[in-house]
Amino acid sequence: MGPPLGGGGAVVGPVNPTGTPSPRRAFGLALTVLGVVVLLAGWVRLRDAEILADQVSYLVSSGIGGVALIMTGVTLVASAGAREEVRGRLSRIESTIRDTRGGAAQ
Amino acid sequence: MNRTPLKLLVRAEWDRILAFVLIAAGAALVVVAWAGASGTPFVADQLSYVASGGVGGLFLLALGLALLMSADHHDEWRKLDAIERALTEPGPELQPAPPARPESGRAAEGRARGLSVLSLGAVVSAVIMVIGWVHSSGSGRQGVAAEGLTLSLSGLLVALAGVAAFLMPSRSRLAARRAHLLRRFVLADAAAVTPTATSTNGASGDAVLVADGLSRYHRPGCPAVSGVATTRTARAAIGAALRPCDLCEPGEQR
Repeated sequence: MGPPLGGGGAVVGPVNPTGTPSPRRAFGLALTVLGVVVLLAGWVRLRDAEILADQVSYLVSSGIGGVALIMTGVTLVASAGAREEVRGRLSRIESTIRDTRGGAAQ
Repeated sequence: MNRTPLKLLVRAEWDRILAFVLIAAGAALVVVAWAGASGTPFVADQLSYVASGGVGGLFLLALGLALLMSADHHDEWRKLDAIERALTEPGPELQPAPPARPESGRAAEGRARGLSVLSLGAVVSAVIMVIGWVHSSGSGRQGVAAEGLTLSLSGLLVALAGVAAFLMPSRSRLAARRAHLLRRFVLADAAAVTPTATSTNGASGDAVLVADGLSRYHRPGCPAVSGVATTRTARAAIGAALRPCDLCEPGEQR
């Protein structure tokens, strides 16, 4: 019977033990909120514009700009979890395995 | 063969570097489109700027963000490689035994195939968008320019479909490998953290965890429901609508 592989709580423990949001997640959230604000502001200005050329201009600046900000923000938030998983839980598992095997070898 | 640190960095992080380049280029194109559209009073010309710079910028941005997520997947893949090496390198036997070495070659093929799908989608959508831009530019007529814009938007949708076809299998391969590599470790860990969940012979008892809104049931202690408000219930009381968790496999005896 070899050394036990599990039991240290390396897997069941929290992904991000510090509980502080990662910079990537915070930046992504900020970009998403900014994108929504830009979209809403563009919609208000577009609604009030009477000339079609002005409306198209607002569509480009606020519409496409807002969508671009939201796309970027949502991607950053979505990928922050995977990044925390690698740096938190998976790194903890790797060090636990190495400690377990190293300790048993001595 | 000697490689400079810069070459090594480019070789290891080419997808992340290319992602940042594409994101910056996409943002720049959107700004150019906005400057162009706001600088002309002619709606047909404005629509042409939207079809070229606006939609083109979103296209580059989508490709860049897809590569950024792919680079994160690659990081996780490398970490799983390191865990696999730690499990399988010479040393004392482990209890429970680590799984047999997965076929990492097939995974590499999957990533290459995914990149091919992304590239093909990008080329096809770029061709459609260029046709749309050419159609809309210089026509001087709003109707024709709007047709070109519609074509460009269709190209963007093709690109987004390619991004989805690239990222979703990549995520699935990663989850499957993680579950394959770590399942036994996860179960041993979970059993130690929640000892009341296991019976005296070491096998899991009949109790499983369910939660509102979840389509799977779990062993007590499964990390997939860590932090989720769950209800403990008998395995026999679970309806056919719920499936067992892929990670902790509550339907199997250990």
